[in-house]
Amino acid sequence: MNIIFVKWGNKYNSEHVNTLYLSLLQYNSKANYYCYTEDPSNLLMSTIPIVSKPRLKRWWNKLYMFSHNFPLSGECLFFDIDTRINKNPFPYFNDFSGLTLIDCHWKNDSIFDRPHNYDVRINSSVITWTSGTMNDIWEKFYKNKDYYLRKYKGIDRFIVHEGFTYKTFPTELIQSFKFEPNKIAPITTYEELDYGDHFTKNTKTN
Amino acid sequence: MEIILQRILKQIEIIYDDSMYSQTNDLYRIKDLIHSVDYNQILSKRWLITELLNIFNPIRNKHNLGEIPKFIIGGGWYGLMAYLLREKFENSLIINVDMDPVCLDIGSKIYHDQDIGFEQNDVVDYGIDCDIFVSTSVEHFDKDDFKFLLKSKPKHTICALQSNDWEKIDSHINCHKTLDDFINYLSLKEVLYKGEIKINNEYSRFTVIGW
Repeated sequence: MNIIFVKWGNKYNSEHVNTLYLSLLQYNSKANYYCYTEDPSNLLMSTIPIVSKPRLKRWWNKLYMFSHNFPLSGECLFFDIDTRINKNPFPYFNDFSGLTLIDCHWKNDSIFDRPHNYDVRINSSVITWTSGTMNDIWEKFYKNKDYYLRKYKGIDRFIVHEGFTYKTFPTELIQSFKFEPNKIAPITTYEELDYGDHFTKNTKTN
Repeated sequence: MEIILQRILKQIEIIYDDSMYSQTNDLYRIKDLIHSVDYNQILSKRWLITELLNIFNPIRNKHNLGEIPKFIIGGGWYGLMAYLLREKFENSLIINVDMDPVCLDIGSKIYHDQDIGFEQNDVVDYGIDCDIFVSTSVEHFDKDDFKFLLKSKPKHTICALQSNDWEKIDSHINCHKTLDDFINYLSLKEVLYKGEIKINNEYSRFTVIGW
């Protein structure tokens, strides 16, 4: 199994990535760990250089994992850097067919259903798939990327509203730091928060 | 311009109706179409045309350029630049190139009587075999691709180009911090005009004309 992180720019540093890597390593030392990044300095795992063309910013680089040129094969498991591992999540990762994403069960307000806001009730903080089977996601994006970059705020909206099929992990796998204060799930996502602030606080107190 | 804005409203109505009665549901097109003709778009493009006109006529006489100059517009979106050029260059061949297939579809309806050619392609692949190459969206092109395109241009081709320093936009992948940076990047043999304007106190737009 390949476990992949994507780090672009300076919102997150190598310490953020290494902490996530080490917290997963204690539960799975057999997997191959990679960081797809333009800055491999101080990273403890193998790195894959971010391609210079097409140049993408921020989270849009995650989509390149679905390119047929992405240099990994076999089962893939992706984690956003702003996820925190609380306990062993690997029993939940058994299905690498198709695309599996996070069910944002905490987004239960009807405000998320406004059609032309393109909001979604999934997120791509954690993804499983098998390399080479989801290339159509990248290909569709690449053909008209400028338009999609304007239309969508992120890749979650692109995946859902461009009609790609997906499954979701069991809801007990992950909780939202912001919306679910009682954290008992194996993974916490800090989406929509400044993870840098919380990361510092967490590492100092734990 | 009023008739063009009326046609754009009609296209917006069609997009909305499509979202009601067909599988096509792309309401963001409405916003994109409105953005394509907003105040700053018109201002920036008219600025470029004004400066191009100042340069073009003396050059045309000096270098015996053709009676009917050929324009290629790279990343021309729905065709506003092409239309504004048509206003000032009545006897010319104008081709709007954009890789988004919907731009061709909508643009050719809005500007159907303006004698504008619409091509769905990446102008890097299409090439710039023309008298005047115009792009007001250099910030959207891959840095290396666009430089390659300029290097491959015919010697006589005048380039009228705009970019900006608005780096925070996700689709802006070829911004420049200053006008001089933009000029250096373009590496034209001769710069005939250079200028900069501040837009909404938020970012600077640069114009460079040269060959």
